Amino acid sequence: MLLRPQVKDFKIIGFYLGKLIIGFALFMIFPILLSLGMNEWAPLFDFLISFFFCLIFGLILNMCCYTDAGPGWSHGLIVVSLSWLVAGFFGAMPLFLSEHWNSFLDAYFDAMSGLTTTGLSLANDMSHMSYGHNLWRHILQFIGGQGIVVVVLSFFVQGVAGTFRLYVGEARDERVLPNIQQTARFIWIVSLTYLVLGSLFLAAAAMWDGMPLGNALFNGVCIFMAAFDTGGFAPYEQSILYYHSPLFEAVTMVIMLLGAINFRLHYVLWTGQRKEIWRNFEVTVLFITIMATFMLVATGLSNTDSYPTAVAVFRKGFYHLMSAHTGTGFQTIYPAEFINDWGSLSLFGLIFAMGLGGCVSSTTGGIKTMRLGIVAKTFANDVKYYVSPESAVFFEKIHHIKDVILSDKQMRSALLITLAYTALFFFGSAAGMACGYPFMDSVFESVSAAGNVGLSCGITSPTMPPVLKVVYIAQMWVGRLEFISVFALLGFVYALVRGK
Amino acid sequence: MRRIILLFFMACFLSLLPRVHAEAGQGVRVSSKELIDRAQEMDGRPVVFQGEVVGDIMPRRAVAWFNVRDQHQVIGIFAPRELIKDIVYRGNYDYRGDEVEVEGIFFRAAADLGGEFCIVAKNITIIQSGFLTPHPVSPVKRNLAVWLFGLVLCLLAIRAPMIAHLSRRRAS
Repeated sequence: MLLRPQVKDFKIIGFYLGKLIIGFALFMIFPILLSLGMNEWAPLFDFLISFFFCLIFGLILNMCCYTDAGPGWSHGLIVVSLSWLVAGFFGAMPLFLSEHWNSFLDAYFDAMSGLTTTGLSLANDMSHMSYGHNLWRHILQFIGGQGIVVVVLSFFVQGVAGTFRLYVGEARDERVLPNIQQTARFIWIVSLTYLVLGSLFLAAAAMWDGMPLGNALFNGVCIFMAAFDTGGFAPYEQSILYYHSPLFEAVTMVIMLLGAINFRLHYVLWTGQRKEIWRNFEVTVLFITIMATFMLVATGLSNTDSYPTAVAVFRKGFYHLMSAHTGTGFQTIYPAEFINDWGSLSLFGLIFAMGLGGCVSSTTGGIKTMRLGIVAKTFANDVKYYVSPESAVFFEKIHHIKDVILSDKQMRSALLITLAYTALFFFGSAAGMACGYPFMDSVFESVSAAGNVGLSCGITSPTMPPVLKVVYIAQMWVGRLEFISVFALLGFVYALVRGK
Repeated sequence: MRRIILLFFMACFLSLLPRVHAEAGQGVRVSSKELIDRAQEMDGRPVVFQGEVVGDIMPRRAVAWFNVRDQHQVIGIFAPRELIKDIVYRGNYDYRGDEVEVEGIFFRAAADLGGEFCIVAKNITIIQSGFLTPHPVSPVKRNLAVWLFGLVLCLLAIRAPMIAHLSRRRAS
């Protein structure tokens, strides 16, 4: 029997949602300060209006729904899924007010793309966008990559029972440290340390390539946030092609790879256990899939004679392969070139890499290499079972920080999530084809959206049908939260309507 | 009659001649959309591309990279440094950049430049100088921000005593 949610359930959800939205609002202080510093007065008021609206919403929710009760599992999942939708709304507000987006739906698309670290964009005329608005787009990726819940847990929530349930709702089930708040703070310490170092490296590379100091620093910070959080936004319309720099591309590749690695592995490496990187199951699978998919991409590019030299094949092919596999979405070619020049085999390799993604508990999207590895182990285990004597006993073991024996529950969970992602890719592809786009284009764009990658073959544009914008928004949201939180929200709504 | 017909065909031939020579020397006038959609066809051909200079000019020893935007997309331009010295304004939030006409060879994937999609410029002409673009603050936005600030202050003023009161009521 399905029980209808009670008033206390709404209060718990409203109270914690209010806290998360207040925390989200405080991040708008950064573009406000930048707009003040750069004398960008019109953007300043865009951000002030959005900041105040966001604060008002959060405060009213927090006050009206005040409760001492901690969130249960379902509350945590619902709060998380709702907070991403609501944060997307308030994140879109300053973008819409900037008049660089044709409609609020377009601005919401970009805000959700930023928060989910996808990187698909519907912005117009980014060459004339203010520093404040550009910074906000990249901060959205930084917040989304770390996780809105992780942000709030780190700084605004003290000793609240049930915070682990909020943490897990954001598709993070790995505890780096025993206490969830310590885990959240560690993630932020790692991220901020890499932010300083990574931004300086990128700025140095930009200055080496002729960019003036101020712009080099701004671009360094923005590109770092997009690369480490595997988001893929860039300050300019051409993405990384703008810089025309192999050095810049090389630095971004290293940062993308760092972002695609499990935060638990970062902790282990930070505490001096460097050998773990060679023994780790997930990293091994990631390395194998990068090599395998690059072989497909390189073979395809060679077959179509897309690039005149091996250097060009490596520079374009490997860069986009890394961008796809880490779920970043940086491009150094125009979207139409994927369809016009790359050929089916290269695109197949790229689509496969996009669907796979990086490591669990990282900033990437997609199925994740850990799950692929577990599915492969499950398959191997079943084959061994069928060819061996009946009395034989089997178990599969992997090394992930420590040796782990795979249970049936873990294998089933990996298979289910893989199937769910495949269904999501299928759904988006069908929607693209229903809107009149060709098969390969539709599959490419759907996998890119659902896998939170951000590479585009040209479908994503301001002239895209509104229904497809809504489909991609839903795919980005569901893909980022890895289904469970979204199902919890849908179940809550169903119980509200049909419960007793 | 035959002389008239012969003269007619000679006139047609002569009228075509200057255009043919101009295309071979000056290149085909193209948009960014044409370059991207017909990249294979245009690869290695002389082109003329017009647009606004946007972003940074990035000098690297004797050459420089910069980007030019027309109504569709932004294209990278690779040029010797002496060609860029007259470019003053670059398009950003505060300025509309210089409108330039770039004559050069288009490469879909320039072998000497690591596979870059670009125009290697032979000549750059400033068509129109850039200018400051003002962004006035809307009075509606200004007033709305002030009212919302007042509302936030009111909420903050009542929040703390309200939560303290609720906590006391629950404890009792």
